[in-house]
Amino acid sequence: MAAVDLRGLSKAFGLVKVLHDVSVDIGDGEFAVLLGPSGCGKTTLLRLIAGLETLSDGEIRIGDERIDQLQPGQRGIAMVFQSYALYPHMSVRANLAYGLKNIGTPANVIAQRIDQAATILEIEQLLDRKPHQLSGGQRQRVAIGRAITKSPKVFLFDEPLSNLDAALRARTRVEISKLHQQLGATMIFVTHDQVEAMTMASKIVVMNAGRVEQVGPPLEVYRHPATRFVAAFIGTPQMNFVPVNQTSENGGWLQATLKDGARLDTRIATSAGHASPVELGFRPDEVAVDPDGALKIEVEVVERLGDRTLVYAHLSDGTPIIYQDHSDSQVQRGDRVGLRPHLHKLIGFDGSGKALHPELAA
Amino acid sequence: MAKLDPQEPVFSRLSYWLVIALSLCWLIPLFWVLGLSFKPNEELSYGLGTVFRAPYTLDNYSDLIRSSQLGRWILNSVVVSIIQTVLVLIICSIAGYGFARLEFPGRRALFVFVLIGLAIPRQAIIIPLHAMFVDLDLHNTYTGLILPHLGTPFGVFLMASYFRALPRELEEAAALDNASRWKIFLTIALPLSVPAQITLAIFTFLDAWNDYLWPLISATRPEMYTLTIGLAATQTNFDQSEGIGYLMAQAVFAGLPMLILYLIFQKYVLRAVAGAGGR
Repeated sequence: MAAVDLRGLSKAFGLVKVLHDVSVDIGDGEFAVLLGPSGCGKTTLLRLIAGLETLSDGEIRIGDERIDQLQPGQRGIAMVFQSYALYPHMSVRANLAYGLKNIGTPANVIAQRIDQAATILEIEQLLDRKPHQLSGGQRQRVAIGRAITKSPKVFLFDEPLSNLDAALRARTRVEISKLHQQLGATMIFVTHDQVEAMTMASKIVVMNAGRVEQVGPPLEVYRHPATRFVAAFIGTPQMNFVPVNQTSENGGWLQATLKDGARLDTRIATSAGHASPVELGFRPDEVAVDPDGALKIEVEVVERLGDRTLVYAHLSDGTPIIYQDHSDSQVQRGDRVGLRPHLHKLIGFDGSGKALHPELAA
Repeated sequence: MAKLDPQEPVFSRLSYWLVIALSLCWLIPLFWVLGLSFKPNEELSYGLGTVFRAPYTLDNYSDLIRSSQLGRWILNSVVVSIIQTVLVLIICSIAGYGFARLEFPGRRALFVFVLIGLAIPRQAIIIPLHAMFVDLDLHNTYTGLILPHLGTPFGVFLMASYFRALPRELEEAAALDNASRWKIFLTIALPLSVPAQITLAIFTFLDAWNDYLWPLISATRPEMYTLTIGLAATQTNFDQSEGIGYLMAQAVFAGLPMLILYLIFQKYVLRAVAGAGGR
């Protein structure tokens, strides 16, 4: 197993630049998730690591070895494709053996590795079937099995759960996490699903428009988003953003005046020297219902989910607001409600989208 | 055929009858030929209606076998058709894969150049080809019969289209599995292109078997005749009004191998002709 070091990677397809100077360190044994919307360059980044695309600039190291000049098969990498890419004309056993045969592994070692992988993934009874005789979930396992048998330094996963139904996806998520613990291997996983990222990753790399927006452990990315994009992308329902009309200082803290004249106190220090926020953000669960709260909203839709209630509303200027209430909330469509965002959770965003974080609560 | 359902729309029922009528138009002459081939020539001189009553005879077939080098011609046709088919498959698969998957300068231009070959009729190049084969002393050889038809733009086009449609991820997975480009071609792309290869094989075999013009020019010695040339050559030796049973036996002989082949590969022939490329 080995660390993966991506240094200044750029990739252009003709005149279209899809990756801009991407640098990420992924530690030995880490589970890194490349997360971002469609077209953000995450799959291209994974394919660069695999050697399926050539770099325009930068270098890739696995452990101490520079690998970006090597052929895909020589990089010590195994990849699970979104479509699984099982060889349709070969049995499961032949699929698992193919890579090992190509490097001249003795037959008894191949058999042993296949048995091990089949045991780990519980696919022993499927070994003599062809891929078309398998269900989606089984194909998924075989694809992972094909990766395991090669004992690679790094596992790459390209949205491998996207073809599974919701229940199977949740189960497979847990299984891949278990597998990661069991093998202790370095894994890089591409997804646009933040739930997968939050639940599986030890490190999330949030990407947008070919750039890395933020790298960090899931909770850090959730609680301390570096940019407005990260704040908006991570978390369901999405973070609320209210436009700021004017800012002032109140006892060393920034105070924001909204368009409707409401004033919101924050714990963002004015002494930090950063630009003034043009927006304030808070998550739907970081708010209290309070008739005297600064935010006056009108309720549009109420979703009662059993364990909680989600309320979709808007400010008088039309800014949409979502907040989470307790399960037996009596709120109705058309109600006017006062909200008070938690002081220490209000995050500011300047004109460039950079986040201004509050001081931690004492 | 499906059972007729009185509830079905008129158009659908009409099309059934149309299909039946068309297939009868097609089949009656074939059965006629088959029937005539079993009739003694003397009886046929009374009128062609005698085909519907006894006696029947195998004389026409035994005459055919005795009076010609039929066995040799069949062998020639089989050798030429099989070798041509195998070589066309090999050449077109490799070329098609190259055009579909390899990046090299001038690929598009070269592919267009190959496709232009589709527009050139064989007859147009037959004289220079003949001159060339005279110079090379290749007439009256299997090489001479096979060589001119090995470069088939249609085959290259068919295989290239098929390889392009194969999921690229399979080959990428194989590359990550340490397979060389050649190995990917042999172990992944080629086995997956079998349906297209069957289509191409059927077309090539039919083309080689039925070819008349080139063997007529290239094979001038009776022992190098293919079946088509051989059968045509025997026809000139008989008075056809008397020898009509014999003539029909020849027609059956010429068509039989194709019929057998069709029965075996029916599924693939239908797909090939339907233009689905057997996918």
